[in-house]
Amino acid sequence: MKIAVCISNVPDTTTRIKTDASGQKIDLSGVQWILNPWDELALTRAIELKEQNVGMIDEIVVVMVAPSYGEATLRKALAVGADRAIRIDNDPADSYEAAFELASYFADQPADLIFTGIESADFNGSATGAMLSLLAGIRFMPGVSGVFLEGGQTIVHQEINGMSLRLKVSPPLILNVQKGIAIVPRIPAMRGIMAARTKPLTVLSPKKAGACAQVIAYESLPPKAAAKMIEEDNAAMLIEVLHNEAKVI
Amino acid sequence: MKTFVFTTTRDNKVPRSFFEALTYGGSLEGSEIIALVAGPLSQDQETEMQKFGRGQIFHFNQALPQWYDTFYYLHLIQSFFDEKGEPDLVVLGASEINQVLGPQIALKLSAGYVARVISLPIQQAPWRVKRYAYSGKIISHVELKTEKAVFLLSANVLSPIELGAGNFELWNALPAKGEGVEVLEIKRPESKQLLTEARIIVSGGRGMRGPEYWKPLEELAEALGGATACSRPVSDEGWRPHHEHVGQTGKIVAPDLYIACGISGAIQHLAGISGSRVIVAINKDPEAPIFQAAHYGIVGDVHKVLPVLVEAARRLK
Amino acid sequence: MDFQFTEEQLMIKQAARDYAQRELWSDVIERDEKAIYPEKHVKALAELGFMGMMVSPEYDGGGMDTISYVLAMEEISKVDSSVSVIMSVNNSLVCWGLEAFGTEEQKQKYLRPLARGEKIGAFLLSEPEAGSDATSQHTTAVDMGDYYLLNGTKNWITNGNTASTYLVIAQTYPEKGHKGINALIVERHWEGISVGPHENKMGMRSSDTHSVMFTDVKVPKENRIGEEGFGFKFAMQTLDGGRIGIAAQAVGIAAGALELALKYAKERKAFGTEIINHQAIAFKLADMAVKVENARNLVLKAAWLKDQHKPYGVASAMAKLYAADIAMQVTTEAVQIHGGYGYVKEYHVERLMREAKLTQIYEGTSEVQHIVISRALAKGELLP
Ligand SMILES: Cc1cc2nc3c(=O)[nH]c(=O)nc-3n(C[C@H](O)[C@H](O)[C@H](O)COP(=O)(O)OP(=O)(O)OC[C@H]3O[C@@H](n4cnc5c(N)ncnc54)[C@H](O)[C@@H]3O)c2cc1C
Ligand SMILES: Cc1cc2nc3c(=O)[nH]c(=O)nc-3n(C[C@H](O)[C@H](O)[C@H](O)COP(=O)(O)OP(=O)(O)OC[C@H]3O[C@@H](n4cnc5c(N)ncnc54)[C@H](O)[C@@H]3O)c2cc1C
Repeated sequence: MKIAVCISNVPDTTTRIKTDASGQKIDLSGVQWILNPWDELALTRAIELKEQNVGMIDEIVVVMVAPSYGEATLRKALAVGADRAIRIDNDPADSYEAAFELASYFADQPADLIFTGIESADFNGSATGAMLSLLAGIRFMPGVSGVFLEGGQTIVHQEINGMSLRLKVSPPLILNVQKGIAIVPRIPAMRGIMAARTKPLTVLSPKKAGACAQVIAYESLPPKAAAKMIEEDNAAMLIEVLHNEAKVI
Repeated sequence: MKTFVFTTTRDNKVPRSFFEALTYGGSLEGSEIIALVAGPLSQDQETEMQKFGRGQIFHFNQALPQWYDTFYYLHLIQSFFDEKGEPDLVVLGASEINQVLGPQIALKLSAGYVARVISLPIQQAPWRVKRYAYSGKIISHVELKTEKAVFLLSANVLSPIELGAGNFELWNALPAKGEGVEVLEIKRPESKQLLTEARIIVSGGRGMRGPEYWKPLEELAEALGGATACSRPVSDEGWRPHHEHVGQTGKIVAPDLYIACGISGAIQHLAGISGSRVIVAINKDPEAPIFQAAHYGIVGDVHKVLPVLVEAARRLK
Repeated sequence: MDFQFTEEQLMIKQAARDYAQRELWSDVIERDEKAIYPEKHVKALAELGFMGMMVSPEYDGGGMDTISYVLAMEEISKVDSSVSVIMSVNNSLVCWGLEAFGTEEQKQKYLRPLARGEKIGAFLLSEPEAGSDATSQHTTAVDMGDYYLLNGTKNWITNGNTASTYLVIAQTYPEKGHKGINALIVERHWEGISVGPHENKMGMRSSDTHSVMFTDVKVPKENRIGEEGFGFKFAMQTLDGGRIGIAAQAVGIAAGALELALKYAKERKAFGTEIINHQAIAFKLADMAVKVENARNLVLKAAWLKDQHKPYGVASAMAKLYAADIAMQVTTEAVQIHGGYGYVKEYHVERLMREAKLTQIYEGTSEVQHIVISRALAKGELLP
């Protein structure tokens, strides 16, 4: 069985986001790039599956659509435990472009389980996995909060729309992961960092479908007025204010 | 311009996000609404539908699959398009199901897709809309290169306006189910209200001190008719079920009122609540960053403040 | 000149930081207060490979350079130096000493499990009467033909109780002075070894510091490291490297205190503004930042020299002297910036201040570092 994890390269979640002088681009200088938190958890789960099901998983491939500066993040994924890495050399402007590149790759190099994250922490498009599924013709499992292997079948835990389900389904699948898929992201061990030196990282040229959407400008959040403070001793006032002034209750 | 709006029902009800989408679609120039509601509805819901409705609303009145079968929904929508014609614009209210369907409908229509739209379009040709990026840290203006568009709205973008101009009728199709999935177990751990659709949320952080102190928080939620939520460490430590976890790595919520009790307001938590209309912070630390995000604040001990609020809220009702 | 870290070095720094901030932070105050040995953390760090980072992969180590090691030491020390000192002793004293000077058999038998972190080592040099003056060893290892008979007491031994492998410095030929000293590998479970109670320390309270007593302990000859009489040289050379680790620890303590003080100064308001807007506080922070940066550069220089196989004894003495001194200064100022809050345990900086003090004492006191540096100066080994 082969597992692929799609990895998005995003700024560290604590990064202060500001635009450059043109106002049309995010100022990326000094940004620390990380594995998208969801993808990092997906990778962690993929590695756990490989460890728990000895001999069942032949390899874990991480796939990223990104310019060359994404490679450090891919090498971290290798150090954490992926077996090889693919970078498709494109800077996607929207989810469609990313999904298109991924679909072309998987058409050529199929995998049994493909993990995608519920969203990426940069554009929060939440669309790549769903589009990939339709483009690649592979069943889509949204809201995946757990995955287990049992005799060639995949047991998927799904939480969606207030329902919690346990499903048995056979690969190939695209698993769109969310909270619960793994608890803490794996930290690379020295052994892994060493091993990553010789693991293959292949760069593929893009198919370039062209994006459907494009960010043309950024706008900072409108300034927020200071909070209205209510004395602790007068806490009941809050309910009154929420009723009469804010009119939310 | 033909504008398609879609929702599934839950507990025989239409979510508010559907009316938000109808209102949004109806506010656009030259827009003609054609909507599809999938799933059973209770009687009173039909009157709701008359009240907030617009254009033509079709009701597919059949029980929906137990599990979230994307094949089923896509097939249903495709049949609808086959019969009624393809729309030019699709407006989807914020829901977990629409979040999955949106991108796929966009592909089917060769339309551009924008998720979490936060305002009416700046421009209609070419489409230009605003949305949050970087987990709510900045607003981006997105322009589509396609003629057609699919917009998934953020919750609370606008309030549904009563128009009562809807025409509501039944529509049927032969459903097709996705094969090869065996449902082993189904649970409904969440309360009746979905966190992502709740209008009022009372949320607790580590400042609550432990699961045994949650009672007044639950009572306040109940008195206000709201849902309960929590910060990540609270669910990590098992004080609260994990579906209550709000934030960047949990649920993104956008209620009218979010009351944060003993939550410091870390950037990752704020990323999940920034769409809330009114944020209230109760925290004993006046320097807690949550006060920067809040509209109303009380510097004080949650254990003292919550019981007072519960009483006041009960009096109000 | 190239001030760029490699991608791998940064990855290791981040891994150490992730572990420290995510795992060590939450229970460090309790561990310190109750002097609880950080067993699960030592195990987890061992699994990540931090306990034998620099040992060659041939002996199950991580094969990383000294730069990576000091970056990791700094990140762990920002949060908990009780953990980092365990790491430091195992890495730069015990593993390094064995790898540099041990026989192939010794490496196979002792180094491998230590490098994997399955076993922990201790370095036993100090004695009740021999601290800075390590030449006056009272512990004896009498040559009995095919074994040494070990007798004496070692003080202040980090990992004294948890270690399973001891490297013991002892006198075999008193008449030869420090040239009669041997370094011996001793297993903790051997007969005749007893361990004193846990020392109730000012700081680094959860590291495991004990006296260790030897009574007629038989040590096979094959457990001697190097030639007969090599022990003192062994200890000094090993400590040269060890000091880089302690210097990195001191930088971590200072940098950790600076991080906390900066955060606090941006949040705390006094006289209508965040205190960072008061110049007295802002300038203090600037001075602290310069000191941390300076110390870090000295440590990196020493680590770099070691990686380049160039002499690093004086560089490591300078790094340790300066880093330990500024750790004391920076943590004291961090407490000051926190005001009353700095004086209570919840805010961490008082603990960092207590931890900083130790870096001026162990692996050669600041006075001893002055001696090393001034002698090198006098001998013309350093350009004035
Ligand atoms: C990649 C990543 C993703 C993350 N995702 C999320 C996420 O999705 N959601 C999330 O919430 N966090 C997330 N976090 C964690 C986040 O950084 C914070 O650690 C977390 O939000 C803090 O939770 P808290 O506010 O409950 O606890 P704390 O930060 O410990 O705050 C507790 C607060 O309670 C107050 N308090 C204490 N006692 C009382 C009392 N008696 N009365 C009143 N107030 C009191 C304190 O003053 C303090 O402000 C993420 C972190 C990372 C690194
Ligand atoms: C928590 C802790 C852990 C330790 N871990 C270990 C360990 O794992 N292994 C180990 O072997 N040792 C360990 N030590 C011992 C440590 O290395 C010694 O304490 C240190 O070398 C100082 O020795 P001393 O305490 O005997 O002080 P002394 O040598 O008695 O020094 C007392 C004072 O006199 C000064 N002084 C001494 N000689 C001179 C001189 N010639 N000129 C100027 N000033 C001088 C010193 O600088 C100091 O200020 C540890 C100590 C502590 C506190």
